[in-house]
Amino acid sequence: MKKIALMCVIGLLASQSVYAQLCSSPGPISLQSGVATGDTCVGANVVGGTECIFTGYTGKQEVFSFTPSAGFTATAVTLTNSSANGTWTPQMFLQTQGTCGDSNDCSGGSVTAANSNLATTTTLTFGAGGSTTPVAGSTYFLIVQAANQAQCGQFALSTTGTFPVKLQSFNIQ
Amino acid sequence: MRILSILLATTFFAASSQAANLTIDEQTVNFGEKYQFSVVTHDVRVWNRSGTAITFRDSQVPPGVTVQPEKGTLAGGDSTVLHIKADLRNAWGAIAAPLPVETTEGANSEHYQIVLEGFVDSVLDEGKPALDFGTVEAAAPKEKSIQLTSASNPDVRITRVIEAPDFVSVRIGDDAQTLLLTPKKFDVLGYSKGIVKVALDSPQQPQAWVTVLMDIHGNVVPDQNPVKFGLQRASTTKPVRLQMTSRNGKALHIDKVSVPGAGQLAVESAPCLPERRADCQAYMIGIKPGHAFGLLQDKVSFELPDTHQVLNVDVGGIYLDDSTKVHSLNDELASGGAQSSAPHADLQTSLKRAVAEKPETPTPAGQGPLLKWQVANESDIYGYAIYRGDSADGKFTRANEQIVRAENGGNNITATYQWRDNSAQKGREYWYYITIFNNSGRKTQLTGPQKVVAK
Repeated sequence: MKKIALMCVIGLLASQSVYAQLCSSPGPISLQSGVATGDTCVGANVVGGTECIFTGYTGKQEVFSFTPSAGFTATAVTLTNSSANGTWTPQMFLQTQGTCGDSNDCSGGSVTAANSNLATTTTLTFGAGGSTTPVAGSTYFLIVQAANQAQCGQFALSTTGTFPVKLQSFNIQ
Repeated sequence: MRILSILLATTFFAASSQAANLTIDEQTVNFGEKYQFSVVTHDVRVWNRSGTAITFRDSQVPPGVTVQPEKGTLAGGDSTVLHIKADLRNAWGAIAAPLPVETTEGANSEHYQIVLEGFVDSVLDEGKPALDFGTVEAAAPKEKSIQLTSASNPDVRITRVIEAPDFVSVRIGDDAQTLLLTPKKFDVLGYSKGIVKVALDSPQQPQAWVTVLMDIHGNVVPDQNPVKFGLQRASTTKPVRLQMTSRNGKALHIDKVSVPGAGQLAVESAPCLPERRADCQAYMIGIKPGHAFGLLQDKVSFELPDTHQVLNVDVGGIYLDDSTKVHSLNDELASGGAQSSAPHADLQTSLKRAVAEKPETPTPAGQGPLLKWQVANESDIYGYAIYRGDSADGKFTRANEQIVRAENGGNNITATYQWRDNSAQKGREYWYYITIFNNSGRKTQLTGPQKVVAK
């Protein structure tokens, strides 16, 4: 299995997420380092559709839960298609529950261009610039599904950290 | 108008030993960048490569996207055109939409997909503007405001309110950039959420939608809203306690309790804690056995006869059968792979590593001011936009029509970019700064303004 090394953890900047803004102040998300594996072929469509544009279609799903607490932060969860033949397109989204008068919110990870012969990856980024910022103390469900109902396959999830984007130089000639 | 691009990729998902009956003409079509509220269309021709007729169906497309025809029959060797239409009004940032196509030939079915990709920009700085009132006291509602600003085009103004939810009144401020909202309807207590739609005088984007949320409190307040069920299993569901009190200390009357929609929640009266009181009512809310599995998106309504109001309490959670496994992400990460016992140490070590550099991009042709910038640790960045003004604190507008795409080399990788302003007038002084566009659509200013005199 492909190992994806974990890195680091940096403080989350103030969230720009609509729902994070609507909720209480965003807190850091604490995630264990490492790699988790899964297989949507053994899952079922348990969660149904979502309201998110471009993520409304659902295939079989695997459900992961986590509850952020104060501590160090992970900046992203990356999903890698680890099926040997790569013939499925994974999607990943984060489902919250019971916040802000919305029973649910969802933040879709982007799906890379599908290719039947290449592994695909998709990343859900937390914090500044990302699509969502989980709030400490709330339980979140990270749902992995196939983009096509007829598809399923194996995948690996890894927490990744990124350094803040750093401007090295800027000049005008 | 900005150049629009789409990436259409096709994938065949049938068993590899089986020949594909359907081929799709364009494996990749680049569509590029569009503003919110654009509608993009693209035609893709598909061919039946088999000798016999097949039927096809492409109706299961994501919200906001249509593919016509939804279904049909293709004779052997024949072709047809699929008309793809995507309404981008509510999209923001990089998108990728798999559009499944299923074919049937007798008892055999095959599955294909077209992936629709692109980047949706907002003329506003915030592409998903939202105003959260927090708790609104029905007895003393207060006005709140939200300003819709645009670094890309500071002249953008709100011209009119197209539509607003019935629980709020909306007016446009004197600067024509600010919306002033006042809660106005208090017969329904609890959370209210809606969208205020306004027209913009922007050539790039005709509208903006502002999400408005408020939790309206009256005399009767619940001890929690929403009620969080968390993860519930079919055989071990646990009711959640909800307690409501009258804030004025008078007796609390509730006429009727109802569960709108499917009504698959059980609500039973319970004694208040720590003791029975006239100004308190408590309930145990449970999940009925017939409730659909999946996410809980329910609501419980309480009729308050004394004030002729309805108090809505939201219910959220996830309800699964006993066999569906929910993995603890932390446990799986801990047991599944490489770990670092000291993540912070990893970070420190990595910071000391030598920085790798990506090759510099070719210098753009022309005579205008050449902007050159170097960035390390790029991740999840779509690209860069250049803003130009006549003074450091003057009005800046977006100078590059197309976003400079990012390399996204990751941690410790440095990328160098160049962009030339060939529209600058010789001898004139200009100020420039650079902004990051994330894949989510969000924008972050990367540099401060710098001055140059065009040669």
